[in-house]
Amino acid sequence: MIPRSRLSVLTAAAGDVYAKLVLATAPADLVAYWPLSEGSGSVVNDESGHGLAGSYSGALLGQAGIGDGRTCPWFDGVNDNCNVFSAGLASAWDWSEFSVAQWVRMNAASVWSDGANRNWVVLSGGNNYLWLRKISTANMIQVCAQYNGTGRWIQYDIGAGIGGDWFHVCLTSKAGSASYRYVDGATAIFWATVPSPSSDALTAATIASASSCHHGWLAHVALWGCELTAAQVAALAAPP
Amino acid sequence: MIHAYALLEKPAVLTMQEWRTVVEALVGVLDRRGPSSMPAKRVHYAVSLDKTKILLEGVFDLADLDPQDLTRLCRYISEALDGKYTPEQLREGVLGHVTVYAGATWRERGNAARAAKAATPEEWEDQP
Repeated sequence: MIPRSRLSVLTAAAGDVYAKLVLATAPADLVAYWPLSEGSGSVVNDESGHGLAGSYSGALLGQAGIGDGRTCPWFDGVNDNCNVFSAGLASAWDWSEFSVAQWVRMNAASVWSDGANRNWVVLSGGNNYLWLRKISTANMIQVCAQYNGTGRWIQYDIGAGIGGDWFHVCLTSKAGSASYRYVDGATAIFWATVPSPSSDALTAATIASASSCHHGWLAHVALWGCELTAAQVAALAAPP
Repeated sequence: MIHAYALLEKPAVLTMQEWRTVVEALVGVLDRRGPSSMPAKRVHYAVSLDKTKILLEGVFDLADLDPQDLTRLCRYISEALDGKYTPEQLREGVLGHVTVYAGATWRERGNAARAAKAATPEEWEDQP
């Protein structure tokens, strides 16, 4: 029998199938979901229903997306970004347990060796932060996290295998437990035992960033207040 | 009007506070030139780590940012600072502090801007 939640996915309009999958993934813990499929304007809509909209600064909207029928923005690698910080997000965000997921595509395979840092998601506040990005060393994806001043930076040499294709990246984290990073659903331990975060509030949240700007496309950025399971991440990473 | 990238560097004659005031005013002036519903065409920028450089993108009237004929730019700066310096006083200080990235297309101009930024990553790239 197909669960009711999946039925809604299967009957959705083409452009909504993947969005409905995101919305059906740990829905009670979904904090924010920015599909980034606006065709114009400066507002980054939050489709989680929590009203945590952001704003575009730069970015060329309406570009071909991940294949789900929606569009996505292209970031120029110079100064484009989205500011998704809000007081509402700061209030909803809990560093103790979360997941971050998104789709990423480089402008070309050569971006993996362009010598620049290129940020995809940056969350920070006081002694806690999280960065998901490609770094200046060729082909390296980097996860940087710090909780209550204890930091961990890990590079993963996997960019060459991705090239100019879309890929899905996710990080799950829970204080006192292991933190996992996923690329296209494949997992590796990022941190065996995540330390407890400080009580510092979130003060910044950006998709790409003006200074270390992504060069290429980003889509379907979502935040949860829980650790997604490997099966949930694998489903999110399945090409639509 | 042209979709372009330009680098502005703080003239030594301006204090950091004055520079901040000038940048805010200038972004407002330039953004009103070509309002668009597309974020890529609205004026937006990256600021260097030391805050002395600003890498602007938008749809510009290049006469506003002409690196040689600084008439308009110096007037905007003068006005932003309520006439503390005359445009004539500013001209020498601003000369050599404006770069407009060349290219036949927006993508080519973007390539030039990306290359310039990549050549000085220590000035731009933020770290956690």
